Amino acid sequence: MSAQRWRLGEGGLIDRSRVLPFRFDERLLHGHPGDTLASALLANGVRLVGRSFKYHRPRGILSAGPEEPNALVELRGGARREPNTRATQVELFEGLEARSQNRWPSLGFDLGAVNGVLAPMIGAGFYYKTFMWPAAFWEKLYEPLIRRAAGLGRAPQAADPDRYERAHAHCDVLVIGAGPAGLMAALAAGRAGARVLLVEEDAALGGRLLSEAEEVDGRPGAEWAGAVEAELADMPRLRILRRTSAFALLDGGVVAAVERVADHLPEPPAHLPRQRSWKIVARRIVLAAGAIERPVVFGGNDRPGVMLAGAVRSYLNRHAVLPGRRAVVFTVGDDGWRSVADLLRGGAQIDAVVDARAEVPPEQAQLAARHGLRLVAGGRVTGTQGGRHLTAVRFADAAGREEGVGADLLAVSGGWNPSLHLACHLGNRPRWDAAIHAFVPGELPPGLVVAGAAAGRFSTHAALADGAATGLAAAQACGFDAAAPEIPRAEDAPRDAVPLFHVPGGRGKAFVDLQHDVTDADIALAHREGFRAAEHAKRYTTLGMATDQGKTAGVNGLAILARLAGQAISEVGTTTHRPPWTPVAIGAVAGPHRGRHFRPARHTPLHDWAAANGASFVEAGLWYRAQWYARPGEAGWRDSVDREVLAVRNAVGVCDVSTLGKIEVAGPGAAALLDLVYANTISTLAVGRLRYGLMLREDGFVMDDGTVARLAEDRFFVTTTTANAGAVLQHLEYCHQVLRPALDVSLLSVTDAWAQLSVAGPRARDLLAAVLDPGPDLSNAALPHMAWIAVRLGGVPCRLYRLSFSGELAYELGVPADYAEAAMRRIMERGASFGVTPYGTEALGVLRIEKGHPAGGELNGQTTARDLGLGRLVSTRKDCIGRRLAERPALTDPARPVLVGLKPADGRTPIRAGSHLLEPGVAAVTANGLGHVTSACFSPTLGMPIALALLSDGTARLGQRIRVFDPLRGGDLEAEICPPVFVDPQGERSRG
Amino acid sequence: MRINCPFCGTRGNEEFTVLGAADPVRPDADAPVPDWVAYAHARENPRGPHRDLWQHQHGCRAWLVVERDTLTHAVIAVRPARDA
Amino acid sequence: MTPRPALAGRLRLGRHGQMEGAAGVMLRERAGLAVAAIALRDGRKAALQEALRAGFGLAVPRSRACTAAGGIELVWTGPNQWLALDGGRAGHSAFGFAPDLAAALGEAAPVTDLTGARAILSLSGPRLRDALCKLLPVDLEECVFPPGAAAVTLAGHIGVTLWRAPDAGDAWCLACLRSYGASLVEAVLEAAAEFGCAVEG
Repeated sequence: MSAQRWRLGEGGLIDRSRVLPFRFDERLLHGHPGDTLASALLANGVRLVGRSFKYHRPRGILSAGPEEPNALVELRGGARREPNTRATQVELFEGLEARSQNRWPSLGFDLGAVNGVLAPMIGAGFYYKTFMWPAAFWEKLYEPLIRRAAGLGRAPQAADPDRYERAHAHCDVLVIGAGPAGLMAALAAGRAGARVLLVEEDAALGGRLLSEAEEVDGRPGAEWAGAVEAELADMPRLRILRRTSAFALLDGGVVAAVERVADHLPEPPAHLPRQRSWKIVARRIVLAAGAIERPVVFGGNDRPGVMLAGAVRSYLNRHAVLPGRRAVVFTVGDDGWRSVADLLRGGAQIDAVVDARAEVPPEQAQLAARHGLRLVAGGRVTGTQGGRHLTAVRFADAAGREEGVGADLLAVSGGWNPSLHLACHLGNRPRWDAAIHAFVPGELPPGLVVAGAAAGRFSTHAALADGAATGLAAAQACGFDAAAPEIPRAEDAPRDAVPLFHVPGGRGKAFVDLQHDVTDADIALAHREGFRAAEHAKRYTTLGMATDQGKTAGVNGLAILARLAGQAISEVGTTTHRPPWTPVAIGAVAGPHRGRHFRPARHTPLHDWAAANGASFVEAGLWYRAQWYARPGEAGWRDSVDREVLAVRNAVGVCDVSTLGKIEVAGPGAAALLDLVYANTISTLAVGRLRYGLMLREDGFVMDDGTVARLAEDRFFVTTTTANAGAVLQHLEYCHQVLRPALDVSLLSVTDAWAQLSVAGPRARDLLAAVLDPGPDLSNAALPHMAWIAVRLGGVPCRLYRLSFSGELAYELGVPADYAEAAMRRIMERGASFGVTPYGTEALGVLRIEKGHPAGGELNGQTTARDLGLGRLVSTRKDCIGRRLAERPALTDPARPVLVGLKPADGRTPIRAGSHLLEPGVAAVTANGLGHVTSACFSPTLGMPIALALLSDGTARLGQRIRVFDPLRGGDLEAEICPPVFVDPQGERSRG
Repeated sequence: MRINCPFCGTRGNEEFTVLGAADPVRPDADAPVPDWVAYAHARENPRGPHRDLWQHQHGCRAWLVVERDTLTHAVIAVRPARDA
Repeated sequence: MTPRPALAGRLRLGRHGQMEGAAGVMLRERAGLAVAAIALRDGRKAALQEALRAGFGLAVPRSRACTAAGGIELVWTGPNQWLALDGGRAGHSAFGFAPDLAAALGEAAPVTDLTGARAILSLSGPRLRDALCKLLPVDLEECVFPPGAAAVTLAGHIGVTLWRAPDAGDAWCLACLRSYGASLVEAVLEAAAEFGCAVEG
């Protein structure tokens, strides 16, 4: 077992009774429950954890939280491999496997370090000035090189094996963060009886209290937090979500959060998701997200061993790990001294405390004196030394004299930045608070308040008091009340500091953004090149654009820009804060809606019957429709489709057309509404009759077509195409509620109430007579073309409509959905002697192309009624949607493409939909295009390929030849232009 | 974004579809074609309050006039289109 | 002629998801209901109220509410629109529901038969709200959605009507268009898997 040589003998919030083996870069190491991967690595003495993005510099662990820019590892393997994972946020589990990134062949010896030598040529924005010449090199050399060099980690190639969920939560008060401020806010609001949701990013509640050696109410902070947690857990209307990051504030008081349900386990347990994303609707929000410590920018500040002073305390106090044995502490104020005290208690030797203040408060000066520490008041760290690890620190005193001291740990405290991101997601800018040298929230979004360190009030006492006050106020705003909770005793020490962000002129590169390798020189370059505004400098240098979104870089970058411009930081402004707060897995956003579940599926009532009878299905929007019904022995789909078409033309076929939209329009105003939406007149339709209806858009183009049946004086049954069913219902509702609100009309979709079966062919009438309950007169006189009657089938009330899409004698039988399958069985049984054949959408398509009926290819939103030969349908005697704009000259130009038919000149070469039409012999360029093929198929009835097309001057060109050109798929043939009806042009068969 | 449907209460925008500006009035049948073209295609794009037509498609299917600030996304007022 | 319910072949009976301990969610299809849609002619609300009261002892539900009497449920689905469900008519007698309603309501309110047009689930169980909050964006807390409440909303990408009949105790109903039934069932079973789901016949 590897010794955890840097683990302290006692203390920490870890379970020493269990040892967790894990691997980093194949090396077997050990930790305890309660460790993060980062703390466990430090306990095992692993300091080098990665190589930087551009220069491949050795990097170590800077922080102990989500702000970590350096310790990005590849976690797990195989399909679960997760690149760019912050080791500081990974909960250690048994068998964890992690690898460092961006290095080859190894972390210790990385050839990429040669980039450091090239550094002068690859500063900020170098790619705007390079890779341009010679142009031919781009595709073959530059791009492949850049792709290989770019990025940090490797994404897995295999499909994600885990499940993800989405969930919704509603509450009165949402408290974001369970540190001292958040715990008190939840307590206050919970005791008042409000419905409270407390969300905490960490696995444990307590926030900063878990990392500090301080007491609350006379006991250790973590213990106090545990007691509050116990009281909160007992509240029935209070819910705690831990391991949950609130990552966005959305409009309307909605917070998006992601719960890492199983990230801390080797595999998600059965029936649990890996992660769950939450949409939280809150009446009031208390943002108690704490603050993030700032480093200082100085030469060599990226070496492994340079760590934020607050993180040093986290490792010492929470994880019982000594991050270094010989430390130097560099602080801009009071805060770094807390690390001095904790390091001494942990047994480290402190070789110097460099305090940027010229005057150090007596208490701290005495602490240094008591322990014999070298105190450099008014000092600055100017550089570091060491290869893969810190070995020495150089500093200058107030007079500028430089010296060096050996060290393996440099704890840096540059101040604290309130985590106000969520308060700014809706565009509110933060404001600079000169008293604490940090940005605090400015104008707040409605219903959101900020408490504790997130508001710039850093002491524990202030956080507790803030939390209690804001939590109670939030509950009161929601109508609940109680006495405010007593504020427990806690430290309220001053946090005096000087505003030091940058030590210029040091030795070695001084990094501002560690993850993107942006140095102070890069910012100066941006300023020189004119990119001086914060938003410009960010994009030019890429500062703040990495996965850590500049959490430890942003303010220092602004400070450097401000100094270069001779402005105050408050004048430079900030960049825009946008969600997400930390990276969110796409899986969590998608939830269950992926793969087969990306969209719901819609099935007709006959779906299972069709599947059992050889149907192959096609997706038509959300619907599954039977394309054809294969029979044993058929070699391919053409065999099935040709057979089905001939069966309809010669005997009788039955097709499931249930997917077409069906809408009931009822009321005294129904006829008037339909006259408005249809181009032709509907109000004159008699009860018991049907009429074809053409619907236009207001701009004059055809929107949809269908049929209208008059069920009663004030009730109509409207059908639509499958694709437009939803749009037509929405359009009808719009025309009623917005355009004609005075009409008394009700609209109802009945698409799912009826299965609709098309029964078509010369034997259709005979078949129906055999299938329907005896009674109705089906003769041509009693039930003519375009009429309907009520019938019964096995006692079930159905409707029989006589209309024809195929051009044959045809009907549509409307059967209540529950009885569709029983009806179909009866049709197949009793229709056997007539040769009844089920047919699918392919045969349906062939039949209608043979008859020239427009469908999807023709109703493409760019055609008018005139184009489709339906101009006479547009009534001139009434207003309707689209009538006026359809009269515009460009839409009535005779040269517009109109619907024609095409037959290949050689009688057998297939024509493809989408092909272009050209005069034979002219150049095949767009300027010579005369139209295109809209629908095409092989016609078994004619024994040859046919097509429908939109052709300029189509009517005048009937009988001529046209070139059909398909460069994409290699088609080029001559076709004869004919009228768009290939079978039974007089329409006698459907009227018999 | 959340919209307070007068019939269903406040719901997320995923339950709604938006058509566009609510203010343009459909011209009379015999109005000149330029009026019709403007009605069908020309729209103002103000910075600030704007009235849109939304339908609560996955709820009660009511068409609503939603007055909304295009800059702050605040929903100022909602009323049924049929009552407008 | 045998009817085939909306979810025939889509709901495997028995335990789904997590197998340990008591099921957190119980679910079954409410098949064989007679269903009708009721709309309202302008200005005829009083006539509708009287006709429903006199003919069926039913009160017209207000917005986002439902009522029940004599085995019939009325669910509000929008301004001047309701869904009526009758569990007391088996087989072909379901076809009489819409005509009976139409006869009682007359000119005041058009009735349309929707029998078979919806897939309807009955749901209950100690973890039901935790499962439903994964699907439904509306507030399901007891004081916000008590018995007698109704809502029309989205479950994932599927439009649904949700209600708790006043006399149904802790049984909730979730209905969608028949054609979406298979997808709704999959979504509900997936949401309930964490708690163990018992599908009953």
